Amino acid sequence: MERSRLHRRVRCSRGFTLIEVMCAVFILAFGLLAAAWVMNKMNLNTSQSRYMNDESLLTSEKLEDLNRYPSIDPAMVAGGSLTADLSQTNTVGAVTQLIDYFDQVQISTNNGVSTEITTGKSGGQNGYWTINHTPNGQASSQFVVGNPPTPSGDMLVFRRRWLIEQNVPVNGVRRITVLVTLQTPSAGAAAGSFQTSMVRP
Amino acid sequence: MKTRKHSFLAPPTVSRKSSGFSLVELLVAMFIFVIISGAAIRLVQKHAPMATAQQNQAGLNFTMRNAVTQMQVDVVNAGTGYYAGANIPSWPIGLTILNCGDIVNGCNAMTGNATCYNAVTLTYGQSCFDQLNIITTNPAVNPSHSSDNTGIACAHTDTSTALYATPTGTDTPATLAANFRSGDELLLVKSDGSQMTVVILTANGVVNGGMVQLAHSVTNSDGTNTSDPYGIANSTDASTLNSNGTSKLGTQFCPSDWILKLSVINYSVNAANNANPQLVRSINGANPVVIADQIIGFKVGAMTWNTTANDDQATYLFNAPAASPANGCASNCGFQNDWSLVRSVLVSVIGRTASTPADPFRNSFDGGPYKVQSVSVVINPRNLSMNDQ
Repeated sequence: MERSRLHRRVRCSRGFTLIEVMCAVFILAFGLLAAAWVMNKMNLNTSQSRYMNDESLLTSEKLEDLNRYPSIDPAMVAGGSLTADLSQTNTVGAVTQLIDYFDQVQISTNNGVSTEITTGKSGGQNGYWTINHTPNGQASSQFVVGNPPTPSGDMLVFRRRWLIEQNVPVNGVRRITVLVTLQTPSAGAAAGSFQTSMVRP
Repeated sequence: MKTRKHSFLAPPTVSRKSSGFSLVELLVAMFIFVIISGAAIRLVQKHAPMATAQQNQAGLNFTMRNAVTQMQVDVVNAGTGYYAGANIPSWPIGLTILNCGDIVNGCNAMTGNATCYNAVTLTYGQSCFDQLNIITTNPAVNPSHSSDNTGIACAHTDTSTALYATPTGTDTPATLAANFRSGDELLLVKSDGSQMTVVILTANGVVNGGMVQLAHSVTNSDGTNTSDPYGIANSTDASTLNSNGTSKLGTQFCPSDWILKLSVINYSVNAANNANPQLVRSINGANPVVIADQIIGFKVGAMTWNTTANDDQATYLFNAPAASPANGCASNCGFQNDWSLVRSVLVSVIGRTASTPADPFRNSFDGGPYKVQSVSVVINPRNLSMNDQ
């Protein structure tokens, strides 16, 4: 009995071994790394929340834009796709136009100017609209013929596609569905796509 | 395998195993601990501002979304209420846009206002921003007919400060008079919608026989009203012809014409504290409600109906008055404040997060220690495009 008590006292007074300390430090480091990962993930989620926010706004904006056309406009003819960039030639009465059912939106706030570039057609020519907004309250909009500039690294790039279905869901109306997908940055891919529909005459 | 032998008589207190750490072990453990704890401190130091920035970014996301959604709800309803009881074709006004906020010293939107923004203090003044006025009739007040004090002759808004309103429907003079208060803005419009003007009441409505007497400030002889804070009856309208070949503004309003009480929702930026410009919404100029803090850009562009080409103009014009080439304008210089041409609007809003000077991050928009987010959306007021279809 006496030996056992002495031996226990000896074991208790030995302190930690190096390997125990190393294990503890490893666990601590692992915990800190996990905390860092969580923080990083939260940051990424906030960015994705912003991307989703932008997708939602761009979807409603395109629906609004399509809503301003009269029902007899070539842009309102059934067509388009949510899975491919489609264009088609539409004729309504005496008017024939090549209509795109897609566009691309580039957004940036860089070089002292907030810029939004949207591809499209004007007067039958391919080009892009640029909206610039500077800190001194200057804003301008213009259409430029040609391909849009290559997106810079800071730009958010979204793809919009829309589908117009005639007599859906009931006769006499058309359903317009817009799908917006983030293309750049690819890190925001988890933001996915945003899709909304509306029905109009 | 080496084993340690203990004497039964002498306690093993001097054994090597029971002596705790050796100096070398302690130094190695402390070295590792210092390395790990140093890394941990750096990690926390680095992530603490990131967590703040993340919260600020989330707040900005929410703020921008909230502001735009609120405007969408209001703008789509611009121009409503004109047909409630008064069949007025070709309604002329649904919204107005005042460039650069300050009506008197407002800037030209083509060139901006270099003095409104201080790049050193990162402050934004009033004239960096536009105002958007969404015009509807007050749904609580029925339309009434206009006349002079005889009830059978026309009222002249440019020569008389008195206007008489005859109630319609189930309204009595007393109920109608109770609806008019000093400061109210009234729209007077011909029964065929060909001419209009606005007057500002200078006293509450008073019952006078079967009518209501309305005291107002006079308009100009061409129908313009310079005291109109919303710019509805402006000089461009006076020089723009309607389908009858006459000015869109008038000063004579007869017993078959209409008096409508306006309800105006105003979006503007209050830059009284230029370190925190606030996007505010007010109804009829009263009790502005803050929609968003830290707004550093608010511009409104309009797409107009091109009556000559019978097609929409493809671009949004951010200049309400017609800017000249001398102002830096080469084409599409503005829609000349002709609000009847407006078919859809594009709102561009820029917001920023709270400033964090200790953070080395600087944005590339204005170089400030905060994040900047811009949103531009097209909004199509339903009532303003119906006439064209």
